[in-house]
Amino acid sequence: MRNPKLLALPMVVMLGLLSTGLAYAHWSETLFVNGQVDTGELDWQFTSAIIIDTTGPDYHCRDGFAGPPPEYWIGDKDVGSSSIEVDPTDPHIVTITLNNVYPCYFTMASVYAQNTGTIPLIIDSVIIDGTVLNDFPTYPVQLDLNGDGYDDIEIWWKDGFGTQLEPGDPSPEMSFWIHVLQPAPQGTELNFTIEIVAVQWNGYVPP
Amino acid sequence: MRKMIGIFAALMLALGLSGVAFAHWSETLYIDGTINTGILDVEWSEEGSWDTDDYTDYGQLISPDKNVSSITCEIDDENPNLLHVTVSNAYPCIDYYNLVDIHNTGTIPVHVLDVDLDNPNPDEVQIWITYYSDPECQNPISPPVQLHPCDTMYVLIHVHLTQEALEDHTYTFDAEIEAVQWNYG
Repeated sequence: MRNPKLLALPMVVMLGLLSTGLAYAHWSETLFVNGQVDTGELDWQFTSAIIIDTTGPDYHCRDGFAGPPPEYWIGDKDVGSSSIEVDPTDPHIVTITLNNVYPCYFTMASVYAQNTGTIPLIIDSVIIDGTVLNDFPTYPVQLDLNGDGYDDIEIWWKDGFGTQLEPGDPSPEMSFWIHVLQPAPQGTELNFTIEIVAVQWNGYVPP
Repeated sequence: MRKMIGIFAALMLALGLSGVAFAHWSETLYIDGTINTGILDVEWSEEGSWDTDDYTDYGQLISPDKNVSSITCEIDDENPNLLHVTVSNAYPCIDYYNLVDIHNTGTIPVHVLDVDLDNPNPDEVQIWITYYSDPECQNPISPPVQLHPCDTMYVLIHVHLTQEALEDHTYTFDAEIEAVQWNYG
């Protein structure tokens, strides 16, 4: 056995058997699953929007939209005006503009949306400059829009939370009130943003 | 080792809590609001001044030579809301008049309230400040007077010295006229 040739011969045979023997070790057949997941789309868009006082005499109200009724009333002068429109290029945006308004001026807007996605959604919350509203009763939110430490307007969101919209369903009316407060600066453009958040219907957590 | 477990547990908890925000889909609609506020602004300008020291009470000319006193009015250079009224070389029984207009130069209606007159010497100096709708002072109007943008009203300042007025003396008075937004006036 000390002959090196005798040692090398079995090793070469084993190596040859190993290299070819795998094909004969077992038969096999592989099945494949090709997966494809087409996700749905959560999408909703504004369909229309209306506002009072586009023309004609102005409306007024008390601070905090306080009673007794009527909470708002029409005056005898046409000084300020309001306008609203769904953005023609992006129906996820509604633009409201109040022109030549002054303290005590009141306006009321309503927006309507539609579930344009493929899964049900629920209107979850409204965010007015960082203040999250998601439950009833709602309350007026005061906003200091020019950062001078005094509130310039107040907005009272009225309805819509928890409403479920199936694909294609129109939303109910979602309305809100706007009131210009006494500290509002004269001759100034003030801007605010309201966000209306809808979530997938099964991800909604009631307040 | 316990510290490591604690840190890991806290991390998992934080991730779990924040994960709620990402756990469901959401879609936000936006309402962008723009509010352009109006301007409340009134200004005044002088319409004219006159006196009666060369006329009788009945409007009859006595003599131009008697025209020794006068009343003038001037809007302050630095504060256009301030009107300086000066009666020079005045003497008793003469009536001094100054007519100014107030016009709404803002974009919202205003209510011009009643005059707040401070006259420390009413026995020597009589002052009447009255509102009119016309520059001829034929149609008096009572405050609050409503002025729409670009509208004008007239204010007649009438000064009269009584016999008690001192010679070579200076009398002063102050008056404030406040205009407020029409729906709070």
